[in-house]
Amino acid sequence: MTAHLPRGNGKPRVGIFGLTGCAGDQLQILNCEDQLLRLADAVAIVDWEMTTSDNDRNCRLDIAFVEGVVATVHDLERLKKIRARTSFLVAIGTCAVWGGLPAMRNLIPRDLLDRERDAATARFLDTAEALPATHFVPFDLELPGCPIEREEFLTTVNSLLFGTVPELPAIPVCLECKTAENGCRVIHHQEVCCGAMTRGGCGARCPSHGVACAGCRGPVEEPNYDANITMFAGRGISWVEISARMKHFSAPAWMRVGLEGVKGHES
Amino acid sequence: MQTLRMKPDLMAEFLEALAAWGRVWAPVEREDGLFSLAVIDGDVTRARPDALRTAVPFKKLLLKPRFTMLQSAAGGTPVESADNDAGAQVLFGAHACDIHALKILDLLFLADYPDPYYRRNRERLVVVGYGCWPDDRCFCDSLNTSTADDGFDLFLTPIEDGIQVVVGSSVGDDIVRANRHLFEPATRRDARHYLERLSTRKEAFKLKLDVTALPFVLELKKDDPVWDELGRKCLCCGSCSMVCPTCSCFNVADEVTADSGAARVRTWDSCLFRDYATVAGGHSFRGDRGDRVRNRYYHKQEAFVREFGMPSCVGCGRCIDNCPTGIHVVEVFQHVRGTG
Amino acid sequence: MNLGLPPMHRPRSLERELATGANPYLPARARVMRIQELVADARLFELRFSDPELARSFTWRPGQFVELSVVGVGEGPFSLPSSPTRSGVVQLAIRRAGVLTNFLFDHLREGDEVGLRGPLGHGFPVERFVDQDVLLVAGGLGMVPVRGLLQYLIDLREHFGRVILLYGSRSPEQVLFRDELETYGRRRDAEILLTVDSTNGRPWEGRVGVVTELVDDIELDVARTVAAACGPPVLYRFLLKRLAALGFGKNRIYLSLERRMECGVGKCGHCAVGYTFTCLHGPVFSYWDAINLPELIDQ
Repeated sequence: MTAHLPRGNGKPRVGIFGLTGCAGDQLQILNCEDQLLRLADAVAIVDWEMTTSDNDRNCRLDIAFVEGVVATVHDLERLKKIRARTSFLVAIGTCAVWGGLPAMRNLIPRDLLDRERDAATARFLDTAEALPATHFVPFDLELPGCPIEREEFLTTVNSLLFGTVPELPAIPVCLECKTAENGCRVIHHQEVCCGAMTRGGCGARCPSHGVACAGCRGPVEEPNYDANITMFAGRGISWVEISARMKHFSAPAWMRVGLEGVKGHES
Repeated sequence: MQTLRMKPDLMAEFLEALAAWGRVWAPVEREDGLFSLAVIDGDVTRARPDALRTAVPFKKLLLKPRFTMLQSAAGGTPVESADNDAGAQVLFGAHACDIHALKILDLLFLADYPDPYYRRNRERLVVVGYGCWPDDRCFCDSLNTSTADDGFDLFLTPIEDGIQVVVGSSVGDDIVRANRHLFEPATRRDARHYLERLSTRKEAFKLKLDVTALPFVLELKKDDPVWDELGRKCLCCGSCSMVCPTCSCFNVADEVTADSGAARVRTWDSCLFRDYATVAGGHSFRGDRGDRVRNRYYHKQEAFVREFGMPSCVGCGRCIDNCPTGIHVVEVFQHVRGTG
Repeated sequence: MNLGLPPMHRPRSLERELATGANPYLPARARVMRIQELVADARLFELRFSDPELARSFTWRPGQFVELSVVGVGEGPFSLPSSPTRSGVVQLAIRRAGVLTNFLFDHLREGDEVGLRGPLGHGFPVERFVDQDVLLVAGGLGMVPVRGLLQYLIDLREHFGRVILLYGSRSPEQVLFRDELETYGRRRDAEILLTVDSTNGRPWEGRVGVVTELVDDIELDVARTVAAACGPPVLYRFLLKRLAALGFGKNRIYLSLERRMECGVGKCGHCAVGYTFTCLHGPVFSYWDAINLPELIDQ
């Protein structure tokens, strides 16, 4: 069940926030260039630290976009406050949805990390295990991607302003890759390509440029990890290589999530 | 039906002449050994009708992988979109299996409530076939689709020192009459060469699918462990559906465009995806991967046979070419039958 | 006998057009005349085609459905809950269940326009019900198509024998069309037996228990009775066994089935079981047809 979306009662108040992450998804929003003016006209962006220091940090929000992982105690406090402030909460980017690159550090034992960090300069770090924002509070919509797709973001905003939520693609990257008639990175190039496990919507951008899919948009509804791994190994690719490639974007975290944790589009 | 001959060195001129009937699509090599249907205006020498398989078959000329079906301005009435309308097109280099697949798509899209998007492109499609030579993944001969008697406008077959041209429709006749200088009457020698080619070609098929009573075999083998095995092996990536010339399932999704306009968009889909049969409320009628794999084979080789008396697989071998985990349709059926 | 219904076509045969237009995917405009709360999270929408000629001529068979759409939001199949004998207005009983229905509940107001396509699918073969007793069984939201059939049978009462409705809901406040059904019962238009899984502490004079148990409470002349049912898979699981045990022929039991329907005209493939398209060949199937399409009902 989605939250009630406002429709036609003045400009919706929007906040855009970044937790721990590279701010790449917020940058994508800024990259919308010619559409930005239209957006700024359709909504009131009242809280966006990345673009202005003049923010209303406490007002009610109609829509909030959150990027990044929760990697510190402070992140979690901020996230909870945003959830409490907003009617509709959208996760933007794979960090917020799945954990993404920051969550890769969870594979390293924490005591090792503690030993390695420079105690003198890093004392202020209240770090915790890096987990996706969606792990902590309920989100109304999740836009995956590293970074998010501009078109998908714009369509989403259009839909929200219309009073509904968009149908996000649930198909694997392979579908878009086949219709683009690319040579298969697995079949023709013997590479570890995560396309069959990964949610499409990117237009198979990487394989279309001759690069195997790294899995940035997170898992499809029912990824067949075993068969993928068997397939790579069967093509003579080393287990070290398979493991390294599949760890990108925290694929091990996907596997832990398993079937029931993966949310599909409600129709 | 009329049979003519053409000299091989006139092929380029013939291809240029085809442009008068629409944009000419032909197989071209886009990566080493990888072919794709592309518009060849400008450089007809790129055409490679001898190429066995294009990655995606001709179906993309009729229904684009993604197109807008309906659109509306803000608050306006939805109207039909012309996004999929391709105008007049010539498909050059269709093989017999493609032509049979086209006839199968016609059965679906032109019956009951005809699909207007398909129909508009179909009515303006000129089909020029080309005789191919099988490799170890072709099994059309087992499915009676290795030759075509109709369903094309012209059909070209390379024979000794010439090309045999069969005129299969009034449009094909128009093309011939407009380019009389390219053609000459077929000779008895040509006919002999053609028949020789036909029988040597029949011998050349290495891959064979035994379709004897296959629907009954499948009916009896619904619970065969092979389907679970395949379910464990299949990635459900949908590649086989995308490249299959008779797979035509689609998904429909709505989009809000800038300034509150709206569009209803249609994209290719595959029955192998989990949410394909999921209803509102979340229940999936084919939640198990093995069930979905089985469904795909049954749809082609059992259900379609019961409905139309023939399978909806034409033996083109594209799914064999494109399965990353090496699922081989012929081996699957051999296994089910207990002979593989 | 002419019962005033549109014909049933054998699929994959005749080329034809929907009443709403030659492009089967393009909805015709319809205006929302009235929205009425049925039970919590279910509403009755009354629509009228904006084209007066279409509004006048639009008819359907009980058991058929339409696709309702708001372009930009989505489209979904909805059974027609009323009888073609009461045409002019198209009623839809809709439960809040997803993106489209959320939009309908949150934003649609009386006077707004939506799109409708149809009528779609095969309805109940009511010609075969003539001079027969008719046993209707509904579970939960399955009451929606069954109500259309019930109204039809009552409106043409003299053509049919006994009309019996067995209807099970989760709890008293979930009973759809309760006043209307109780009126039919009082007027003896039909024998109405309602049951709930639990009373939830509410006053309730009907039975408590699952709907299939009601079959044992009535005397049936099986030889002259046809059955029509709609409900969740669990209802079919018990009901079909029970009716078969009573001696019902499998071709005298009709089921209205739910699948993922998208295009509604047998093209997109989503609702296909083998080469049977639930939208085009169904959604009403005889038990015999359903049992021979193994995936069609959960056995």
